[in-house]
Amino acid sequence: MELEQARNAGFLGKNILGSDFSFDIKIKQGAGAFVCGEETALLASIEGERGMPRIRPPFPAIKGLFASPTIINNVETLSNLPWIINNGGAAYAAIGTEKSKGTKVFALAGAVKNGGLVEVPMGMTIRQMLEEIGGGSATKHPIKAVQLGGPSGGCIPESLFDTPIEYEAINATGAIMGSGGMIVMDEKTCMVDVAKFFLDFTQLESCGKCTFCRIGTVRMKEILTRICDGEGTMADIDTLEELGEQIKDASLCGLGQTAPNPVLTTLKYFRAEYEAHVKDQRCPAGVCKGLISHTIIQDDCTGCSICERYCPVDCIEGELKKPETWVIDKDVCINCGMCVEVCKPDAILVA
Amino acid sequence: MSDQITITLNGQKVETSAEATIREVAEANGTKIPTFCHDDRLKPFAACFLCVVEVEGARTLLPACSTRVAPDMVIHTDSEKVHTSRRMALDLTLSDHAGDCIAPCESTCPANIDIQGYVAHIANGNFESAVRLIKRRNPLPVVCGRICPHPCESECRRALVDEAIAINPLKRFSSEYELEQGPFVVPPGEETGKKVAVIGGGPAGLAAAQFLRELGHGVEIFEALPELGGMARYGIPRFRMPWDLMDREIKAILDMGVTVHHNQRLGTDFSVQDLKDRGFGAVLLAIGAHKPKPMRIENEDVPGVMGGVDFLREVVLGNEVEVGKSVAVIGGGDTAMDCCRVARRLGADVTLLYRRTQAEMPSLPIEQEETEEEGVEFRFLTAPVEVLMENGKSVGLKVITMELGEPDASGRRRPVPIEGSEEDLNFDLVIPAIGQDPDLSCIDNEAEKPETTRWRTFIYDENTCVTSVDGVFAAGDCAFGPDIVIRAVGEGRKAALAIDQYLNGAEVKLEKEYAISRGRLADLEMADYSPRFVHKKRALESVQPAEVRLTNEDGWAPINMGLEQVQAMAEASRCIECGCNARFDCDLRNYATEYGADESRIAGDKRNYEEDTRHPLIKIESDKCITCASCVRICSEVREINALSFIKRGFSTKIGPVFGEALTTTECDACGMCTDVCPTGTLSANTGKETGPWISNTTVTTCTSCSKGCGLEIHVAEGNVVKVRSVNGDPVNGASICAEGRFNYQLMNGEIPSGSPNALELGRNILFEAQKVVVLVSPQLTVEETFAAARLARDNGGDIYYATGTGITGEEKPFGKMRGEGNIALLNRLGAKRWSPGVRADCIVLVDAPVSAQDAEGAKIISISSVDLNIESACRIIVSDPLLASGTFLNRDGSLTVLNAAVVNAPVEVTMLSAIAALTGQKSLTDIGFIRAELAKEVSELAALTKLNGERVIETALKPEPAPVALSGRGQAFAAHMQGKGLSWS
Repeated sequence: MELEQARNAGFLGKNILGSDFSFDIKIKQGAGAFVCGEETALLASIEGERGMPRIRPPFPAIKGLFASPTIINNVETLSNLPWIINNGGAAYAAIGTEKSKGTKVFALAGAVKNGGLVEVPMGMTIRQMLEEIGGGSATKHPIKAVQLGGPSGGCIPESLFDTPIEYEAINATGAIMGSGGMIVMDEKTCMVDVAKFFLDFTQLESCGKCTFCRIGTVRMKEILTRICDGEGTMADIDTLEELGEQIKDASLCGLGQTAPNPVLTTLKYFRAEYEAHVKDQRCPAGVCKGLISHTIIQDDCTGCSICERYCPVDCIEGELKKPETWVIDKDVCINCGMCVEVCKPDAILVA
Repeated sequence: MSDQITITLNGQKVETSAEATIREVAEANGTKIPTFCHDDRLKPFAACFLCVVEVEGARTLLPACSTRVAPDMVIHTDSEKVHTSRRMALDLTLSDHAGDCIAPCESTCPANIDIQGYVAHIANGNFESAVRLIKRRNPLPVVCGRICPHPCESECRRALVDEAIAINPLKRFSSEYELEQGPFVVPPGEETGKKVAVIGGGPAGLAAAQFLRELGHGVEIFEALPELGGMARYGIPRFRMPWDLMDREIKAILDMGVTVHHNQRLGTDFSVQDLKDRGFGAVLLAIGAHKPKPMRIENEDVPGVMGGVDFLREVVLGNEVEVGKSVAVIGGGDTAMDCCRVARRLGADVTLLYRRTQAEMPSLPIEQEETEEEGVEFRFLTAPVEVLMENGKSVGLKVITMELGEPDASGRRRPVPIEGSEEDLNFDLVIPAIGQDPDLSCIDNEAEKPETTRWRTFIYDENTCVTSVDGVFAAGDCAFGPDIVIRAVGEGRKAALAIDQYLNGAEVKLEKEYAISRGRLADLEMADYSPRFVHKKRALESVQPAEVRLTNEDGWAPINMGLEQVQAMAEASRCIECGCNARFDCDLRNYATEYGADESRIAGDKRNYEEDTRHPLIKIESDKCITCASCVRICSEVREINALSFIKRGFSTKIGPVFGEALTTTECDACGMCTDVCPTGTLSANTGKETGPWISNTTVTTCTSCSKGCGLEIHVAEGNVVKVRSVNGDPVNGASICAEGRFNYQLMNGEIPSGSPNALELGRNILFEAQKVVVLVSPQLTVEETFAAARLARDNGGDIYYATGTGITGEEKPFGKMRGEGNIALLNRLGAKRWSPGVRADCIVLVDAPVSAQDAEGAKIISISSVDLNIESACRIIVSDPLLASGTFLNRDGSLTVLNAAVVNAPVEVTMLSAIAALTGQKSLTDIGFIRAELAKEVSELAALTKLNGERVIETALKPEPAPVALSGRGQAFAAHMQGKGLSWS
C-alpha cells in the first residue's frame, strides 16, 4: 500500500517527480528458507528456482538476477540510507569505530532483564550492552556467554565481554555479527546443548547441495546428541572439531561455512563442559536429561505437594506437610524439570 | 581468442586461457581431479566438493570444477589438506550411502566368484557365458558344483524373501551343460618365458595352474599320487564326485599348456631346492592335508584302525581294504559321512559314533540324511576312550557316554563324559574321521625350510601366500589347514597373482576394492525384502532313493541328478540382484578405494528409501543417491524435460520426479541420460538380469535409428550385448542419445524372428524368375548397404526406392530422436526415387523398409531385416542387428559417422551386406573396402570414404537433402517394443 501511495505521489515509478529518472520497487515474498538469506540462493529463489546457492564468481554484481548485474542489500542497510541522506555521510561515519562505522541493530534476548531490538553505536563492548541496556542477568545466575550472529554465529564467553562490537573484533572471537541476534545465557545453560540446538536448526535448513553441509552437519548433530545423552567418547570431540573445520572449508555458501561456528566456539571456550559430559558423565549446567537426576532435598522441602501435582509421570510421592516422606522415583522420572520449575523453596536438587 | 595467463599448478608454471576452470587446466596438464557432480555435458555445479583444491591466499578450499583460474594463481591439487578434505567428503558420502556393492554370495564365497553375474547368464539361458564367467575365478566349477558346501547360499538375500537361491546346483547345471559342449578352455596369456613349479595337483594347485597360464607363465605340476584332483578325487567318493566329469574338467586346465609329473613326491623324489636349481622362478606348495588326525587314545596305531582320509584314498587307489562285518566311524563331518557310505558299499554294517548330538554335527544336513537312509546307525554322545586289542589287532572300542555342557569357543556345547558309563563295543574296523593335518615331513630335508605353525601348516601371508622362503609360496589345506575345496581354489588364484607380481619383480601386494554392505543376513529384516517379491520355492536337485544309490553300479554310480534346464533357468530368475548394478563402474567405489575412505569413520543414520521400479526402463534406488544432481541437470539443462528434481532439503534431500510420482507420469522419454551421468548405482536401466551386471568390453559405434548419427558405446559381456551408453565427449548430438539408441539392443536379446528355410537361395530363385524387380530401402541403412541395395536393383534391371513418411512433428525435445527426417542425398545420387503406392512390380525386395500389403499387391516379397517386417513374404531373410554392423552412416548434415561391429556370440550370422551380396551373387559386395572405392568413384563427394583413419565423424562434400521418411522396419519394431512396455514411441 505504501508503494502504491509513493507511486501515486510520483516518488516511485516512471519519471519520478517529473524528472527523467525512473525507479520502482517490487516486494517479492520468499517461502522463508534460511538458506535464501544467502545472496545467490536468494536470487535463485526469486527466479523461481530451488533456493540453492550458486558458485561465485560470477558475482551478482556482474551477473545476478536473471543474469543481469545485481546489487543485494539487507533491509537494515537500506534503512540507514534516509538518515545518511538527511545528515550526511560524515555524520554517520562519526559514529562507531575506525573500521566499523555507524550503528548496528541487535535482537537482544535470553537471560537479560531488558530484551528487544536495540540499536547501538559500533564500538560499544558486549559488557556495556548487557549491563547498560540489558540490565544484567534476569535470573539469579550470572551470565556466562552470549551467542552472537544467529544460529550460525558463535558463543562468546564472559571473559571476552570487553570485546567491542565491531566486525573485526567479533570475527576474531570465532563468532560473527551476522543477523545481529544476541542471545544471553546464564550459568544454567549447557553449552553442548546450546550448540546442539543451533546445529539442529542449520542442518535442517541446509539446502542439501554440498556434501559437507548436507551430511556433515547431521553427523555433528548426531555426535552432539550422543554427548548430551552421555554416550559420547573423547574421540567424538576430536571428530566434531575435525568435521567442523572441514565443513567450514568445503562448503559453497555462508550457511555451510558458518554452521559449525556454535560448536567450534563452544569447543574453544567451554571444552571442559564437553569433557565433563564424556568423562564424568555429568552435565555441569544440569540440562542434559541423559546425565542428570532429580532429588528432593528434604531439609528444604515444605511437603506442599505441588511437585506431585505437576509431575507428568507421577513419580513423586509423599505425605502432605511431612517433608521427610517426599521422594522421587528415579526409575520412572524422565528428568523433565517440571518439579524444579514449580518448587517454591528450591528443594529439588539437579545433579 | 581469450587472454592467456600463467598460473602455478603443483609447482609447475602453466600457461592457460583465462577462461578455463582449475579442473580444465589440471586435466589438460595430466592431473586427474576427482568429481561426482561434474560432467562435460553440464554446467559447473559445485556440490560434491570432491574436486577441491588449495589455492594460495584463498580463505577456503575451492571447487576446481567451477573456479576459474586467475593470473598468477598458485594451485595445489594434491596437498595433505586437499587429500584430507577429499577423504572426508568420501567418508561422509559413504556414511549416507546404502546397498550391497557386491552381492553377499560373492563376497562370502572364498574364491569370490561373480555369482550374481553367472546366475543372470543362466537366467538368460546363456550357460556357456555363465561358465566363462565362473572360470575367471574358479577353474573347477564341475567339481565344486557337485561337492561344494556353498557358504554363498547361507548369505543369499533371497532368504529374506523365501529361500536362498540354489546357487551350487545352478553352477553344477551350467558347468556340466558346458562340459558337454566344450569344455571351455581359458586362453593362455602371452608366454613370459618364466616357469613355476606347482607341488600338488589338488584344487589349489590346479587353480594356480590355470591362472598362472592365463598370465603367460609356464607351469609344471608335481603330483605325488597317480592322478590329479587331490582331496576332490582321493577324499570324496566317486558316487558324489564322478571321475569322468572331473577328468574332463581337469583336462581343460591341462590343455592350456600345463605339464604334469605324476607319482612325484616332494621329499622323496625331489626337493624344493631341486626345482629352483632346475630354473623354476617360483614354487607353490599346495600339498594339501592328507594325514588323519589321531584320536589321542590308547592303541590307536594297531592294525584294524585306519584314518578316514587314508581309508577313502586306499579305496580310490583300488587297494584291498579289509572292512569285515562291522565298522565304526568316528566323527561328525563330511569325511565321516563319506567313510560311512563307502564302508556300507564295501558290505559292512556301519555305526557312526559322535560325541555330541546331531544338532552339532558339522556335516551338511543333506549328507547326514543320505547317510542315515543308506542304513548307517548314528550313535550320538558317544566318545571312544580306548581301542580294544587282541593279538596285536583291534577288535573294537571302549566308549563312554557324554553329556553336553557349556558352549566352547566354537559356540557348540562342549561334551562332558559321564563317569562310569563306559562300555565295550566290537568292530572289525575302526575309522577315526575327526579331521586331517598336512604331512610336512616332506620338507624335513630342505636346505631352506619354510617355517611352520604348531598345527603343522606352513606359516604364510594370507593375503599374498608368501612363505618364509623367498620365491616359495603356499596355498590350500597345507597353508590354512583343512577346509573346503573352493577355499583352496581361491587361494590358488591368489597365489598365482602374487607369484606373477613376484616374477615381474614387483612388490607382492594384492589390493581389495572398497565395498559396502547392507550387513549380515542375520541382521536384516525380512519385512524389508519379503513383500517386494513374488514368492517362489527353491528348486530341488533330484537324488536317487537309497536302495538305488546302494545298488546302481554296486553303489558307485552318481547319486545326485541335479537340475533340469527349465528348472535351472527358473531358479536363476529367482535371484533378486541385490548386488549393485554399478559395481563395475561406480565412481564412489573407485574413489573410496583410491583415497582409502571408510563409511564407518563418521557413521550415522542413513536415509532409507525404497527402490522405485515403476518405470519399465529406468530404476531409481534413492538410498544410493549422493545428491550430485547430475541426473536432474542433464534432464533439465540438456534434454529440457525436467522429469527429475530435488525433493525435500537438508539431509533428506532426494532426487526423483516431483511429489514422489512415478517417472512414467512425467515428460520422461526414457532417454536414460540420467543413468549415464549417475556416478553410483542410483539410476540404472530397469532391466534386471539382462544387464548382469558384468564386466564388459566396449565398442563405440553409430546409431542408425535416425539421421543424427549419435555415438553409442556398446557393452559386451561374455559375448552378449548387455548395455548401451552414450559416449561422453562425442561430437555428435551433444554426446546424448535417446531411448531408441539406448534400448533397441533389447530387440536383439529378445526373440529373434525366424527366416525362410534356405532363405538366400530361395531369394535368388525368386529374383531370377522375376520380370520387374523393385528394391525398397529404408533411409536408415549404412551408405555401404545402400550402395549394395542399389547394385541389387541395377543388376536385376529394377529400380531403387525409399520409403517416405510424414516428417518431423516440430515437438521435438533437444537431443532426442530426429523423428521422420532423413538425409536422402546419397539415395538421390544413386538414382533412388520416392516410393509411391502406384509403383508396381512382380518382385519387391524390402531392405528393412516396411510396405503395406495393399501397396505390394501382386508382387512377391523378399524381405531383408533384423526384425519381422509384418508383411507376408515369399522369402524372409533375417539378418543381424544394425548395432552389430560395420560401415558408415550418412548424417543429416552431410557428414559420415562410422559403425564398428562389436564382437558378440552372433545370434544371426548373416549381415545385411552378406544377404544382399548373396542375392546379387557378387561376393565383392561383402567387402566394405571394395564398396567404398566404388562409391567414391560413383559419388565423388564421398571420396573421404577411402581415406578413413580411425575418426568417428568424417566431413564430406555431400550437400544435405533432408526429406520426410518412413520409419525403418527396426524403428517400427522398437516402437512396438516400447508400446509393449506401456511407453509411447514413434
